[in-house]
Amino acid sequence: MSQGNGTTWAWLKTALVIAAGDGYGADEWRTEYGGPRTATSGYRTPEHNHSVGGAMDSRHMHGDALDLNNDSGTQTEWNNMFYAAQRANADYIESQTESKLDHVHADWRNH
Amino acid sequence: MMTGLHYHKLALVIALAAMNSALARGQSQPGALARLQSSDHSERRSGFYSLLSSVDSSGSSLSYRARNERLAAFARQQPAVGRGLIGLLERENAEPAAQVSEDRYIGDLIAAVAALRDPNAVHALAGAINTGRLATEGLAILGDAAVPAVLTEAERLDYPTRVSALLTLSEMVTITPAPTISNENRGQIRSILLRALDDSNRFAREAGLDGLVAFPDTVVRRAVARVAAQDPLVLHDGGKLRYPVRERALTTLGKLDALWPRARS
Repeated sequence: MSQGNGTTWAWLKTALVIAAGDGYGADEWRTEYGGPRTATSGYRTPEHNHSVGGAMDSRHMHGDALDLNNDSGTQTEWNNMFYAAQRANADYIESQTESKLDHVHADWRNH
Repeated sequence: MMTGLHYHKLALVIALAAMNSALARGQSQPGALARLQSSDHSERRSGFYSLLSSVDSSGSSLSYRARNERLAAFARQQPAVGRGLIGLLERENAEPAAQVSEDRYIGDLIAAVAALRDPNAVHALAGAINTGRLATEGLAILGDAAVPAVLTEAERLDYPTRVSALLTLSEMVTITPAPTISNENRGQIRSILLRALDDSNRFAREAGLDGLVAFPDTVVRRAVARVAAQDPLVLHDGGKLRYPVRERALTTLGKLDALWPRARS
C-alpha cells in the first residue's frame, strides 16, 4: 500500500490526524523502527471496513489506527515493530493473540 | 427578552433534567455492574459500554479523554463502579484468548481504569502493561503505589514486558505533574535504568536513556556518554547508516547538560 519514509504517506497522516514531529503517530512509528515499513491499513470508511471484515467498531473507522505489515514474517520483526509503536506513544497496541504474526496494529485513540 | 420568571423556569427544567439523569444512572448502574462480572465475555463487554454511556448523556459528543474523566468522577462518587472496572480489567487480562482483533473494548477498558488514578488499579494495569501508553501512563501517574509492581515486570525475561516496564519507569520520573516517588524508589528506578543501558535489546537501552534524564549525577552522565560513543547498533536506513541508540544517548546528554551543568564534571 505504502512504503512510509516520512513523506510519502501524507495521505495516511491526514486521515489519521497524526502530525509528524509531535512524538507520536505513523511517522514516529517508522522513525523509531529505523527503516521503511509497509502500511496495510489506515483510515477505513464503514463500507470498506465491512468489506475487509474489520471489527464493527474498529478504530480504523475513527482514523486513528494503523496496521504495519510484518514483511519478513519473523517474530523478531514483529517484536521490533511492537517496541517501535510503544516508542511512538501508541495508546493501544494489539497483542499477537489479536493481530497475529503478519502485522502490528496500533492506534492513538487518546491523542 | 428573558424575565426573572423565565430564568427560574429554566433553572427548574435544568435541575429536573439533572435529577432524571441521576435517577437513570441509579437504575442502570446496578444492572451494568452485575454484567461486568458475567462469565460471558460479550455480556461483560456490553455491561462496560452501558456503564460508559450512562455517564455520557451527550451521546458520545464528549472527547475520548473527557468521557473517561467523567466516568472516573462518577466512580469517585460510587466506589462500586471503580471496583467493578478494576475487577473487569483483571478478568480480561486473565482471558486473553477472548479478545478479538480490532475490537476497541480492551483499550477502552484500560483507558477507563487508568483514568481512575486509583492505587487499587495497579495490579490490573500492570497486567496490561504490554498494550501501549494508556496502560503505561496510567501506571506512571500512580508513582510510589505502582513502583513495586513495575519493578517486578522490569525484571521479567520476556522482552516486550521488560521494555514496557522500563518505559513506564522512565515515564514515571519524567512526566509532569510529577507523581510522588520516595527517595528509596527513585534510587531503585535509577539503578534499573542504568542497568538497562547494557541490555542486549536496543529498545530496552533506549527506554533506560529516556528516564536517566531525571538523574543528574556524574555516574549517570558517564554511563550515558559511554553509550553515546560506543553503542553497537547500526541500522541501514535508505542508504544511510544510523546509530539510533547513540543518537538517543546524545539527546539525553544534551538534556542532562542543559538542565544540570554540574553533572558534566
